[in-house]
Amino acid sequence: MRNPLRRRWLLAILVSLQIAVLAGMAISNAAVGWYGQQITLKTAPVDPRDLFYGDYVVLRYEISSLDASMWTGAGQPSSKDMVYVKLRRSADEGEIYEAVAVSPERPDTAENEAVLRGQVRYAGGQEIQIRYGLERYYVPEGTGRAIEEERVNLQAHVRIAPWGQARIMELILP
Amino acid sequence: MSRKWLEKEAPTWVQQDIISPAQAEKLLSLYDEKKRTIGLLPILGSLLVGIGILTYVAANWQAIGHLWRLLLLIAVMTGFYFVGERFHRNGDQRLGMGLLAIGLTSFGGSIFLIVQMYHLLLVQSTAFLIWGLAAVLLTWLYPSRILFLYSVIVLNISQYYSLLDTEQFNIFPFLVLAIGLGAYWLRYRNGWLAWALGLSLVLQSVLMIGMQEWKIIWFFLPAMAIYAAADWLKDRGDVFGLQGSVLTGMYIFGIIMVLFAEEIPVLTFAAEDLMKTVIFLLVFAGLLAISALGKRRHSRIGTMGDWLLLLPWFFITQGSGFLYLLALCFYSLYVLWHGYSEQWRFRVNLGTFLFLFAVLLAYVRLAWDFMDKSLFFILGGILLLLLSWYLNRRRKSFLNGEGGDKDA
Repeated sequence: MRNPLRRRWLLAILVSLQIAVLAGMAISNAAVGWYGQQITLKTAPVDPRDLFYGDYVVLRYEISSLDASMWTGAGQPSSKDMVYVKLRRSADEGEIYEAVAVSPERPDTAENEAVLRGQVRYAGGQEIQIRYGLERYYVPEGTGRAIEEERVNLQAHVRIAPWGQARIMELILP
Repeated sequence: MSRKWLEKEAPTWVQQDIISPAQAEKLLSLYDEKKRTIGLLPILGSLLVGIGILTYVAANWQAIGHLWRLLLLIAVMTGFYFVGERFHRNGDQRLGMGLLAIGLTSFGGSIFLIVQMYHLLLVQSTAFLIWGLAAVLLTWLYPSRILFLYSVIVLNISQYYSLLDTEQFNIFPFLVLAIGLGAYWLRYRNGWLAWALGLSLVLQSVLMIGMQEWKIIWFFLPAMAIYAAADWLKDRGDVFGLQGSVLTGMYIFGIIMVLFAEEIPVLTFAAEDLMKTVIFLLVFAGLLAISALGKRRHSRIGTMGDWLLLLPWFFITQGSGFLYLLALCFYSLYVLWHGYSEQWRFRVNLGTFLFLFAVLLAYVRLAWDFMDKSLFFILGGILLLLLSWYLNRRRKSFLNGEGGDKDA
């Protein structure tokens, strides 16, 4: 790359692309907050810390482990499969959503229902373990340990966008 | 060559009428120490500033609103890129490169701060991949070894996160590495780049094979393929760079075998599945033949000593740990010998180090179990000191006598 003028142009393009990527990531996730359907899930902290980040809490949801009888597909799901979990608003616990079915295809939903996409971590015996990409919640530096130690049952407000993307909005004490 | 050494030698040369005093001055001015140290400072400085900014922003992150955070990051990134470009263009290439690298780091940092902002999880490998892709493009734009290594590291981390988060081999970091950086290396040949590239390709194939739950020794085939292909290259720097990466991987494999041969199920491989064994051996023999032909064609038959490390000793299940120990020792001695015979200082130093390490490994393996621990360390230390004293003396007398110094 000997031509300095051309190089300057190419750098400008490269930087613009990088800005576009960053803006795209931010806007698509912000849009989940604007347009997403809000649901509340029961969850509890597991264990913390990663090399590249500040503090965060690892979460385990009530819907992270499901009964094998909820599987609607043929045979058994195998680990690493992408699956859809149908959630329904609980009759006796108000805001909380609970899993009703796990399927290989996106299911249709009624008004008090929602669908989360997840990946099978493990399936065997009477259990299907699923990860949703919602298992991590970043907290201000130094406060992760405190949440950990409380070990209380938490609730997570999650928003699911019409196009399937989901993210945690906030973590609350019930 | 250092200026100090030149300052010491130059008067003798003037005395012996080899050069004139004016020429001595001129020579000395070529090795201006001040210039060289100053060259390093901007890079160190920009590294510190970069880390400072990252930690500061990360620490105060919570206090800034979402939109402002993003704008701040983009501004920082863009600023560093363009200031870097300016310095690079106006002649201060090192400083320029340092600033560009900070711009790139800000891009990586930005991705992860967005990840943090929205509590994203499944995208970690992808995040590193995007960062690595930007790094590769920047390396093409501003050819530089530092940026090359930067890209290699980021892409390998991307693969690592893919394995950690999804337990799947991600083909994309591998492709970007192999194609993006491979093409770069083809264009700007360099032994060290070849080494870094080859090593990460070997590493990635080990990871891929591990993830497929195949026997780990299948990595011998891709590794040996890289080795054999390198034998057909012309330039010695390229050959030793690429093959060095394979040999590095094999040396590490050897160490693992020495320490854990009994516990690794690799050894049942031969007996377990005849068909696979035959395929493995046929392909491996084919690659050895290709390698040998390449060596003969470029009259480098002497480097066949590398095979000491490459051959699949694990097929001899009885005492393969001990066999690997011998392979490491003899390979190190071969490197040492080859270094002497080629008068190649780097190989001599490397061989010395590898041999000392192999001896240490042998000592650990043979003496750890039955010897009193403090005695173990004292004797081991003495053994190493004696050996290094002896090898250093040999090396010095050789390097002084021959005055040989070839670059890698």
